[in-house]
Amino acid sequence: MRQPSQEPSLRAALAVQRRVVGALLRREFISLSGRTGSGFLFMLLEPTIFMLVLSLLFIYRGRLEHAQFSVAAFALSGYGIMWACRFQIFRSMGLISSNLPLFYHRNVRVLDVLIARSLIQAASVTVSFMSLFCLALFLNLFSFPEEFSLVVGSWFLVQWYGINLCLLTSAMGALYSMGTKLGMVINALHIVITGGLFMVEWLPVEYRPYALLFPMVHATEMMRDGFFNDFIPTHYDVWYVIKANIILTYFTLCMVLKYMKSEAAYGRD
Amino acid sequence: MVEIKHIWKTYLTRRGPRDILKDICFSIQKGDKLGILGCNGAGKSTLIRIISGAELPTSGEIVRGMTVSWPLALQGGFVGNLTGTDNLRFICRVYDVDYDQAFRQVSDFSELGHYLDEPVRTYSSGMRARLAFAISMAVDFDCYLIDELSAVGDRRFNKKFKDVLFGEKGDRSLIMVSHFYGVIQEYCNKVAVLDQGRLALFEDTKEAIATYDRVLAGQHITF
Repeated sequence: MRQPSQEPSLRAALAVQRRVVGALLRREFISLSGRTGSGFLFMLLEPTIFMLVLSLLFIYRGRLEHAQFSVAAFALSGYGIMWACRFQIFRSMGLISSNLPLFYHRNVRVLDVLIARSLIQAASVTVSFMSLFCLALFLNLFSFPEEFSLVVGSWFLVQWYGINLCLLTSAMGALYSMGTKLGMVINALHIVITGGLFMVEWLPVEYRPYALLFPMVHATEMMRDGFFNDFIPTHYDVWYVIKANIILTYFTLCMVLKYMKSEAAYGRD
Repeated sequence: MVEIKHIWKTYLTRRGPRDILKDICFSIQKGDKLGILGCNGAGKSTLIRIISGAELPTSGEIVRGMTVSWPLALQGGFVGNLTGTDNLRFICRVYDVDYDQAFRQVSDFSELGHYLDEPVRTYSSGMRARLAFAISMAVDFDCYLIDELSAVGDRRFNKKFKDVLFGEKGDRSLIMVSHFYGVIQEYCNKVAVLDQGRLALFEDTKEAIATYDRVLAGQHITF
């Protein structure tokens, strides 16, 4: 067994950190995939149903006013992003309290647990997004995006945002007695503020700036720009999302630090 | 050597801050066995958690010159929805220990058999303690922190555990807390009494026990 005997140097501390996060990642993978991997199938189920139902609804209502508008692409981009955010939030509820026993081990710290969990969640939504994307391509629901880099770029920004949400809501839930309830509100809000259900172009011009206050609306528009290119005009600003994410990251880290310094942060049952 | 330097711990309660530990200082050398006696709520478990590093002191410093275990107690250290082996695998990774060897030792020592493949949340508290102590023996620390040794399993397992801890691993250091002086009297070369947040260290076991009896009788010791 190796363990720094004296005050650990930075390099030794980083090595410990890497080992701990690695161990946590494997652990999270086991509990998420349900050991046999059936967990991943269930993860695919929900967005698939949503995408199919939404596609059917739109087809039933007629083809909208836009010719060659792919409802599947609209649903995949909208729901994919909404789901990526909401999955991070609702899976983070009670994350810290259920892992409190782990903090008995000196090297396992709150931030390690949060990073491991949010990374594995980001990875799993990415895998299911990619599977659905390939499935839809295979079924010819839409053609390959003209600007694929916009789809990928948007997805990265969404994951950055989502990881922050996971850290933020779990720290908040552990820190304040109302925190978990607030988390539920944030979770519900993300049905609307990710912009999955509408396109900014469909809104009256005077309301567009309000919708564009939310960074995920930009991200959704960006991905749809990748999908539709010139069919429907899109409205977004990549820098706005990046700036919003930086501010959110700062705020999140402050919250996690606040929790780490609080009394509740130790493995006391 | 483990050195505890001027540890203070304050908890916030509804009636304002309360000092749980006040200026605790002591050190133990390799092979020392320190028993700490205290009533319920004296701060024993808090002290053990602080020494292990699971909890940070409000002020003060702990110098760990050797590897120190996590606080071995009835609770803590395991994730309930993972199996015994998964928990072992996780702890092996965290402490950088070879899994296969540790697994052999743990299954041999804990005698949990096929229950090792069941989620830890289904374990009884005795089984949980057996797993915790078996894993800590396999990880092999220089200094063990034990919260209530009498809590470990039934008498047979308890004896088996003591045989290893004081026989094969007799050269290891040990800090254990208890509200009962049976084991402490038997095995410890240093005894301390924790009362009202202060720690009094005795070289003579008899003297410590006499002091603890006075504390139990309700007379708080003054320093």
